[in-house]
Amino acid sequence: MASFKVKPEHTGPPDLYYNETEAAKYASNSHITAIQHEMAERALELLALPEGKSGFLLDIGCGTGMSSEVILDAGHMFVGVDVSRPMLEIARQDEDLESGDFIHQDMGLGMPFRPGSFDGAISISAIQWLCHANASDENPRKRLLFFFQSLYGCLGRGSRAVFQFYPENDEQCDLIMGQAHKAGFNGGLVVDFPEAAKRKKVYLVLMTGGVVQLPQALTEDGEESRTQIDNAGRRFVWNSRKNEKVAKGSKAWIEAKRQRQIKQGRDVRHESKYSGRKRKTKF
Amino acid sequence: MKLFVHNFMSSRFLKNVTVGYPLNLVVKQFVEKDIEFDRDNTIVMLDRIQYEALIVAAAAVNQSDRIPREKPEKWDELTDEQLRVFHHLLMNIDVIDGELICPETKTVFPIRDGIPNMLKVDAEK
Repeated sequence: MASFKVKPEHTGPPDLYYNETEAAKYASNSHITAIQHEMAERALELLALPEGKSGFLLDIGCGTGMSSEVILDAGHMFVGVDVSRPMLEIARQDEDLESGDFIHQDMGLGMPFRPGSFDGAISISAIQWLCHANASDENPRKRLLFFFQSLYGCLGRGSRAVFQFYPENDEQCDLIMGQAHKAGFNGGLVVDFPEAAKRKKVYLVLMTGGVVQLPQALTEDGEESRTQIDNAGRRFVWNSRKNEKVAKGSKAWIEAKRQRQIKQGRDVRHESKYSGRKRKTKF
Repeated sequence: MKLFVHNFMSSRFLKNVTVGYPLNLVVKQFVEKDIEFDRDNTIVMLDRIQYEALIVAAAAVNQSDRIPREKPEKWDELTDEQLRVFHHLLMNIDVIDGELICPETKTVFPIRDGIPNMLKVDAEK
């Protein structure tokens, strides 16, 4: 059962988790390689780069460079960023990745690039690491926001960033997306194979310019039905704020106001099932 | 770290840095690799390059006399021979040991075994 498995990001910071042994294990595990490869290909597809043109991409959380390899195979150039030095050392020894390069940096500290450097960014199973605090002075919210802001800065206008990740719950999704929107990105989630527990893959597609329609999610039953199930895998959280707001005068509103006044130390009436109800007309 | 990476790096992510570009580059040791020349890719890369920063990088490896002082008008009008010079500078020169220094805060980012370390070890006060 997937839910019983411990997620690696729960065990500690990424630079400690991916030490020499874990990095070597990761790089040589053919199952992981195949899945990472597939996800990187899909992420690249979601980037929707102009056909036949070579681009310059950023690979965030590149690890041992599995996703970078996909970028190179597609004829693009890349720079990879990761927080685990052992992973990067393995990546640098890989002769297939010779034409790219790697930088040792923590995502939460910001992307160290000048404005408009890249045509796009992909990130495979990395962003969820940012949702955990590994030190008392780390604030996941702030780190996510700062990461997205610095990423927004170094992407060219009209380019995209695609993040594949395994969301733990809706709150985590909302947190990541909320911070991305705050940083100025448009976009949302594309969920491939939403019905299949194992094949289900979540991609966060962020765009820097204008409102563009999200790409279609993949579903179980081939090409044909893909056109029929239009909204199967789409979910926008455009107005999550709007939904939170309670109507003025409603019971919830009265209760919230009561609580607020208790906090302020005011003298308030006790809680009652009658509050907020309409009086009978006969009265 | 290959020299083309230097051209895109900035220390703007640090606190109180407004531009942070180009980073000063100190090269203690570099190796020359042999990466296949591809005319189209080289032009794509050169289109994105900030020429002033490229001159800084070339000077750091004592090769500034190999490239023209002024930015060529159009990259795709250059001959393969001329492009190869740029290709060599950008892709083949791999800095193994050195330092990147923020021009504003003078923060030093070490390059060890060819990997620049941008983690702010003692920063964030």
